[in-house]
Amino acid sequence: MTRLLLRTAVVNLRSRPLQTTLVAVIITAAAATLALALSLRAGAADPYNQIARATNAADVHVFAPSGSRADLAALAHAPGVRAADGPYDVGEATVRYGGSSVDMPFQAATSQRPRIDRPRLTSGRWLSGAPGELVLGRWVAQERGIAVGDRLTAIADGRRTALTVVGVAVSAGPTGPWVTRSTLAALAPARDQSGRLLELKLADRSKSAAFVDGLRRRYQPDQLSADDWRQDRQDVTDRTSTATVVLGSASLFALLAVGFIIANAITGRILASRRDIGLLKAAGFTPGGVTALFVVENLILALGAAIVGTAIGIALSPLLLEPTANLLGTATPSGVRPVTIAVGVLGVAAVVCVFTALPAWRAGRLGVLEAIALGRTSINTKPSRLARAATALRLPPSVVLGVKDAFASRSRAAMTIASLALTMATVVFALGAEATYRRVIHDSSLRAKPYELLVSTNDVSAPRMRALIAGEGGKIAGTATVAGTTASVPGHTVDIWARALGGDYERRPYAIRDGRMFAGPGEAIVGRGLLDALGLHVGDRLPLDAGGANVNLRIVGRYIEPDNDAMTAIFDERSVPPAALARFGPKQYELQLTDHSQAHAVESALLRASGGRLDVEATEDSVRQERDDLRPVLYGTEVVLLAIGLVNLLTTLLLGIRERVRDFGIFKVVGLTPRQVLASVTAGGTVLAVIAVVAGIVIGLPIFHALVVLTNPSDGPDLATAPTWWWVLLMLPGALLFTTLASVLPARRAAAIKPAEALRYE
Amino acid sequence: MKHVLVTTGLEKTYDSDGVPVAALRGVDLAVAEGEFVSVMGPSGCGKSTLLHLLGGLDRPSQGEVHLDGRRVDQLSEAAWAILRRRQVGFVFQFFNLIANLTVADNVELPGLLAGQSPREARGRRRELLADLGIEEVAGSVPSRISGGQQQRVALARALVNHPAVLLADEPTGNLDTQSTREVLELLRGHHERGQTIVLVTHDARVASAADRVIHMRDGLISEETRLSGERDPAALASQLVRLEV
Repeated sequence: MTRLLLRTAVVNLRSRPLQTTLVAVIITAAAATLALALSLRAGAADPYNQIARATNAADVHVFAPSGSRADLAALAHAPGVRAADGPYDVGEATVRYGGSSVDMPFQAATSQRPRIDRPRLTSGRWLSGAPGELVLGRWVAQERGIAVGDRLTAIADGRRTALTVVGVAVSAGPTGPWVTRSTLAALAPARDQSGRLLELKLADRSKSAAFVDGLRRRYQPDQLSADDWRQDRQDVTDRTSTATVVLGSASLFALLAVGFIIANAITGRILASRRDIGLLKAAGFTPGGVTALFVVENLILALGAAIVGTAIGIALSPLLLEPTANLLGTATPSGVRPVTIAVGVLGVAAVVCVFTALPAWRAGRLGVLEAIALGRTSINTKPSRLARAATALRLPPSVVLGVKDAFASRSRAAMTIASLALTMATVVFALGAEATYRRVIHDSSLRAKPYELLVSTNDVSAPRMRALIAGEGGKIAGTATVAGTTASVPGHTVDIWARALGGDYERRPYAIRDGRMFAGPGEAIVGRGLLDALGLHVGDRLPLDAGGANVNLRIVGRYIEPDNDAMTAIFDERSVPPAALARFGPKQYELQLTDHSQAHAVESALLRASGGRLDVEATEDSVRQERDDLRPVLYGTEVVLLAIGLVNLLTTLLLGIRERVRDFGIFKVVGLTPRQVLASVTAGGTVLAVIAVVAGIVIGLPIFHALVVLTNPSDGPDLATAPTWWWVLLMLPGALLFTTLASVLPARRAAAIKPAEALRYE
Repeated sequence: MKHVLVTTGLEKTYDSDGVPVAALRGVDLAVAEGEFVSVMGPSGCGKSTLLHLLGGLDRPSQGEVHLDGRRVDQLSEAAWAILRRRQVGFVFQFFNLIANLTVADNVELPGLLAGQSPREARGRRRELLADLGIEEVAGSVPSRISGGQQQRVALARALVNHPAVLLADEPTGNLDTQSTREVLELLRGHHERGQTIVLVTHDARVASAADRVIHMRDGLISEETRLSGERDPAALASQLVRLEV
């Protein structure tokens, strides 16, 4: 029996080479997409854990500033500590690169990589021990556009040290860049930020908070400070949450589309074979035998295609995994994972089995004559509403026929529309992401940065800074200053981030969503995270302990704040006593330009004028960078989904034509010209595609909105931007082009049907 | 006498896995306007092939076909399609109605293709369905009506544009006795109103409804019988059967 089934299955496959090839192409493409989507999901899932696993991440980082008498060596053997590494010397220096200066923390290392928080090299090599070598963190390298081989200049106490980037590495903790001990000594001679760093692994990672609390109780901050892995995880999550959600949803879309497409192709293949099923039953096959035959037939096809498709997907996965890792600052994972291979091959085979067995079993239970008759006219006999509308609209008869044909098999039409709509929803998603990025890039207040340039003065004095700004003349419309610090709220355990503004801050307001901007000292605007965490509302009082002073504020507004979980408060610096304000972080300058497109020109001018001593950051750059990193992944997934949608539509139309050869023969008998048959098939495909586009827009917009809100629960609703209307409108001609491409082959086949041959089937 | 259909030396050879198989081997036929011609013969004698060539559903390998005085065997497929809309009506054994269209849609389709307005097509359809006694099934789909009713719908569809010739391929081959009788009466009725009909059948009783019966064998016309005057169907049929044998 098994041999008979196998032989019949192979004969069946060979007897319809085009159909077999197309279904094989679809399953191959679907398996490749599945493998890509699985790799993408694995690459984008939980970036912190990925990094932590790859680097043997520390559970606790302990820092003892220079001059501290804390005994780090003893801490390495404290109760609860499983392993320790270090202490390593650390220090801060100003690094000049590309005309800009930035303060960087450095860690000393030997030619052996540290054992805990062990940097995982993504390019280049580790330190050889030679002076002047530097290994940079991947995130910093990505953000600053620095690559292996680049040369930087470190400046400390007026001395310049040339550094060469020999490697880029990933690390979970706050550590790096890494230099040799002698290089660090040359870079950071006894500055405030210098000290020693000890990395600890605990016997029980879940007790890290208690361990850190114990250290904080025993030591003053000037003697020792400690952070645990949850802070690292928070940092990584803050950095990657948007990208993780976007990549996660893109891959989820792809998985759903794959399921629909395989189901559509296989179910269509069975429905198109109902006449054969009738004939097989007439020849003595039982319903179970018919089901088994089709399962065997499709499995032969699916297993071969799934193996090839999974291999293609794995081979292509670096194209998505590399930019994903760049985006998330993680080590690039391998696409060759047992899970990907197993799910790729077995998953496709399972979907094929289910979607073969169900319709084959149903068809196998039909009476012989009924199956043969249905095989000839496998259609729904009730005309669809759309077909009636097409008639009422007095469209040409060939178009009306096409519309009616498209819905001749409603279940297949529904499946085709669903899979195409899903593809179109991903297009809407991508357009929405583009529109949101564009809006956020152009309106920096939506990122709580209502200015074009943020200048860190490093050691440039305030009068010199004012002179530099004055030197830019009319290009700068206003200058505000900002100093930030962590602050606590009496009676609450949570810390918030406080920012004190001075200068022309009222010229360019923050994006206020409730209430108003503060008008002077004593008033504050806050992020939604703070209101939610403290149970406060606009109008309530907000007492703060900031910079060692009690600051009494009244909340007058809520603004959009994407960072720090929106646990933030902004107020006039005059609300804080000068002595307390001095304990805030260094003052930075927020420059509001008359023309935002001049940001990079003014940045260059300031760097030149200051001799490269300033660190100037253009606010749009970080969002632009994030968008640029996301684009290849998002559009790569998009292209794969569109290609697979095209083959899917093509197969649906071809199967429909094979099923209805006789009807096309009749069309010609009653007077349809080949061109009209062509128009009819194209019209049918177009109707399906247009409905799918509309459905894709209708479901894509709320899905996009929901995902943005998921990424940023506090301000997501204010940030999510619907795609530009004309882009959405362009989807229709796009869909028409798409349909025309998919319809060319089926329509030509239908037009070439010879009526005498078609009617001879009877 | 004006001839609507004329064929001269009509041949059709099929290719069967590289082996040429002759279906028609030189058929000369002339059908006069208003004439009812039956084509009889055993299975495989080429009668359906002849009908397909007469209606442009297939191309002859040799010979000529003239329709209404115009040579048509060299027309393109599109030109044939346009010609069929107005001048040729087809009826088949298995009805060949378009299953996802209602009876009304099936009947109106050739009219709409021929350029009638929806109102005109609707009017003509009502008229024909009433004439054929099936106006109550206009809104039904073909699968919901009986075989006899389906063949009447097919007849209505074939006649909707007042074709110069009606080509019927075993139109009663799939019907019970009662439906066969009804369909034949309808054909005769339309013939009496001047409709030219060429009917292919292997049933002598059906063939006896015609004015003239052509007998085919091995791709050639082997015999012709002209039937005229008062007919006794049973006697004519037995005469035709004798001729077939």
